[in-house]
Amino acid sequence: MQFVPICTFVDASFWSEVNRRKLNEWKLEESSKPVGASISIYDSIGTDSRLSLSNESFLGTAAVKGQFLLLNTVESFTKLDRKELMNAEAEGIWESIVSGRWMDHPASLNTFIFTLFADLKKFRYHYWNCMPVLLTDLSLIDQPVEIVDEESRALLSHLDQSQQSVFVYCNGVILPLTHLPSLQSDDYEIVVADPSTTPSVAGWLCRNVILAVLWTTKRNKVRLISLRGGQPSWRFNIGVSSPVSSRPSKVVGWERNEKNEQKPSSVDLSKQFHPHKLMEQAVDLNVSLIKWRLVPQLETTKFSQLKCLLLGAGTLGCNVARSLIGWGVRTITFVDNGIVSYSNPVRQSLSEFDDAQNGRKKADVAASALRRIFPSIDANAIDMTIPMPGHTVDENAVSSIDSSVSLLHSLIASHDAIFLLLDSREARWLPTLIASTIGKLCFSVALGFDNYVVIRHGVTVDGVIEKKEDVTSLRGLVNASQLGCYFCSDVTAPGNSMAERTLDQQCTVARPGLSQIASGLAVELLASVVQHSDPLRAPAWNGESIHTGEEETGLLGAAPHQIRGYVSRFNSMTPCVRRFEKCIACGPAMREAFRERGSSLVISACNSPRILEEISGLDLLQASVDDIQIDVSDDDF
Amino acid sequence: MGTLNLAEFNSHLDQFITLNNGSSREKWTLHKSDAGLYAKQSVMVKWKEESINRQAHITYNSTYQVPVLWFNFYRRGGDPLSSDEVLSLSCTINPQSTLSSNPSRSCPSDPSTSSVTLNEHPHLGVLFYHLHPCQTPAIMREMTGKGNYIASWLSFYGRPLGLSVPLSSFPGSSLPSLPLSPSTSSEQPLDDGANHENHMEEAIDIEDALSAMEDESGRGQTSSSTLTDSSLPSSHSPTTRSLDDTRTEGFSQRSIHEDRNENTVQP
Repeated sequence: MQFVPICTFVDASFWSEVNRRKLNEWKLEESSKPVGASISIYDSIGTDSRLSLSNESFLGTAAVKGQFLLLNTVESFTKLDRKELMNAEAEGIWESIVSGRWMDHPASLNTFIFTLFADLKKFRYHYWNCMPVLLTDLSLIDQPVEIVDEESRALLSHLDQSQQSVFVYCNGVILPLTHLPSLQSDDYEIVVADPSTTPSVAGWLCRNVILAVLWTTKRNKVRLISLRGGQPSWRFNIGVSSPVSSRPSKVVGWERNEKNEQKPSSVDLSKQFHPHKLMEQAVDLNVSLIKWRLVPQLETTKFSQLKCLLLGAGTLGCNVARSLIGWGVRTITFVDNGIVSYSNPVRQSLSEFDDAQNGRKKADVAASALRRIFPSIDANAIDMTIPMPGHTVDENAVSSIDSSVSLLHSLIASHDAIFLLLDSREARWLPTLIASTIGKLCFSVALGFDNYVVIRHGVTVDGVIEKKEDVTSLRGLVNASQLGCYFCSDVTAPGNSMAERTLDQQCTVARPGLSQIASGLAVELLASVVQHSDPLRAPAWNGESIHTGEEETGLLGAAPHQIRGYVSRFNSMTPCVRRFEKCIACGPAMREAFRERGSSLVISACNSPRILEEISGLDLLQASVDDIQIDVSDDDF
Repeated sequence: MGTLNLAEFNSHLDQFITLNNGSSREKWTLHKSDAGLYAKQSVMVKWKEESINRQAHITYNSTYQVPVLWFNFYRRGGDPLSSDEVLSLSCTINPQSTLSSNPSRSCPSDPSTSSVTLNEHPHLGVLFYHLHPCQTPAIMREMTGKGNYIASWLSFYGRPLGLSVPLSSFPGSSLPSLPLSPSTSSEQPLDDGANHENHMEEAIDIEDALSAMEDESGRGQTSSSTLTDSSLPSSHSPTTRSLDDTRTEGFSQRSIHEDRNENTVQP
C-alpha cells in the first residue's frame, strides 16, 4: 500500500526565529528542543502532505510536535546517527500505542525530528526532517472510494469544533478514539485529518494510526477515512498480512529533498537576511518603484550597469556620487589629487572632520564613505593630477605626464559616463579631449558664487558627425554629435587660470546649496540621457522649449544640452550651443592631433597653451575677428 | 466607512475569519504578537509547474487606520520567489508586460496593485510585499454597502493575488460595490490548476456579483473572467494609448505618494 510522503515547508519567518534564538538564547547549546509544525487539510495543489514550520513553531502551540536539533558544525550535522535518532523516536511512538496513550493524544503517533545546521554568517541552512513510521505489511482490500460531499462536510465540521485530528465514525455517529477498544461491531471507521493532496492515496500521517488501531483492536483489518478539506475525502479498506503482536522492527521516515533524494535540503536565504543583500534589494526596489508606478518603460539595468568616472572628489564629486547611487548606479571611480582640508567636510558630503585631521586623500575618503553608505557599491579611488595646459612640465616630469595621460585614457575608455567636477577650467581640457576622441558621455558641472552650469558634451560616435539638421524653424532637435563641449563657446585656449580667477576657481565661495543643485541636475541630466533609446545619440532641443511638452525627447523627458541657473534670481534656462568647428578640446583638428601625438601633444600644451589655438585653427579665427573686438570673459555664461 | 480604529479592526477581522472559514477552503487564522493581532493564510498554489506556498497576512496600520495586505510566495525551504517572479504573477502588478516596444500596453494604475512595495513585516520582521495603504481610506469610503469591512476591503485588494472572498463573508447580502473600474483586476494572476475547480463556484459568484454592481453604477467595464497567467488586459485601445497618457497617470499617482514617505522601502 502506498502513502503520500511528508513534505516539510519552512517559512522564512521560521528561519528568522531560528536566527534570533540561536544568537540570543541557544548560542552553542545543541540539546534537543521542542518544536511544533502545522498541517493543513485544505490544500488542493501539489502531490505531498505539507508540514509547515513558522515563527510560531517554538511557541508550543502547534498541532504536530517534534524535536529540534540544531548542530553547531556541518560535521556534527553530517555525522549525526540518524538511524538511532529515528529508532528512539519510534520507540516513543510504540510506547504510546502499547500504553493506549495515543487514544487520548493521537498527536503522539506523528512526531518529527528536525535536524539543522545553520550558517548564520552566510544565512545558509542545511536541514533534514524525519517523521518516523513503524512499517507493517499493509495492503488494500478494496479500491479506495471517494466520499460524498455532505458526509465529508459533517466530518470536517466535527474536526473544526473538536480539534481532534483522529476520531471514530460509526454508523453516522462520531465517537472519541477512547471508545475504540469497547466497540463490538466492525462497523466503524477511523477518521484521520489528512494533508495528503493525492487522490485515492492516503497520507503519511495515517500510517502509525493504522498500526495503532490494528494493535489496539487485535484485528487484521481496518477501515479508514482520509479526511481532506481541499478536495474529496477517501475511504480505505486496509488489511494486514498478520495481526500485529509486537513492535515492527523496520522504521522509515527521513524525508526526501527537492531533488527526490534521501538527503538533507539546503536553502540560501542571504537575500532575506544578509544585511548587505537586504540593502541591495531595497536600493534596487526603490528604483524599481519608479518603474512600477510611474515610468513602466524605465530600464533600471541601464543604471546598475553604468560605470561612472568622477573627475574631482570635492563638493561636486561627493554630491554627484550620492545622487548616482540613488539611481542604483553601482560602479563609481573618483579621481582627485587633493587631501581633505578643514574647510571641506561641511560642504563635501562624503568627508568628515577626522579625514581633515588625518590629511586623508579626497578620492579615498569619498570612495570609502560610499562603501560605508552602501557596502555593495564598487567604488574606487585614483590619486592623480590631470595634466593641464599652461602648467609647465619640466624634463623630469615628462614620464609622469605620459603615464597620467595613458591612465586617464584607460579610465575614460573603461567607464560609460564621465563627470568633469574639477575646480579649474584647464583641468577639464584633457578629459574633454579624450572623452570626445573616444566618444563617451561627458558632463561638466561648474559653479560660480550664485550661478552654475551643467553641460553635456556633444558625442561623436565612430567619428561620424551628423549633418546639421534641417533647420526649418528656430526650434528643433539638435543631434548629439552637433552639441558643443565645455570649451566650445570659448575663443581662447585654457591657460593657467590661477592668476585670472575663472568662475571655477571661485567654487569655494559658491553659495553652499549650489553644489547640491548643480550636482543633482547633472545626475538627472545623465538619467534622462541614459534612458533615451540611444543614449550616445540623444538629441537636445534647440533653444528654450517650455511649451506643450515637446521637449520630451526621451523616456524621462527632456535632455537639454545645458542648464544654466542663477540662484540670485532663482531661475534657470536650458540653452543649446552647437559644437565649434575650431574648438580647442573637441574640434576635429585637435582630436586628430591627439590621436597622432598622444601625450607629446599634452606636454606641448602644458608648456605652451598657444599651440592649442594653432592646431585648432582658432588663432586664424581670432586674427580675423580682432577688428571686431569681441569682449570675452570666463564669467560671462 | 473609510477607516477603522484598532478595536473595530480587531472585531471586524475576527468576524471576517469566522464568516470566511465557515465556507471557504482558504482558511484564515488569527495570530497575536507584541505588535497586535494579525490574520494569516498559508495555501499552496501552482506556479509554472511548481507548487509554491502563498502567504497572505492582514495587519493593521495605525497611521492610515486601515488594514494592510502583506504577501509572499515561498518555495519549499523558505526561499521566496524573486521580485520579478512575484510581479509576473499578475499583469496589474507586472510592468514587464509593458515593454517599451509597445507602450500601448501600459497597465492602468489600479490603486490596488500600483502600490506594491517590499518591506519588513510589522509582526514577523521578515521581508514581505505589501500594498501600500495610502489610498485605502479613499477607496473604502467610496465602497457602498455595510457589513464586514475586511470582507469588502479584501474583495478589492485581494483580487490581484487571487484571494477569494466567499459571498457568505458579506452578512445580510450587503455586497460592496467598487468605486473604480478595475478593468483588469478580475484577472486571476495564478494558473492555479486544480484550484480552479474547487473555487470556481465561489469565484464566479463574486465576479458576477461585483460586475453586476459595476454595471448598475454605470462605471463598470467588461471584466475578463478567463483565468490565465499571462494574458494581458485589453483595457486600452492601443491606438489611443500613448506614452503621454502613462506619464500623466504616473505623475498624478506621484502626487498622492509624495505627502507620505512610507512608500519607499527602508528595511
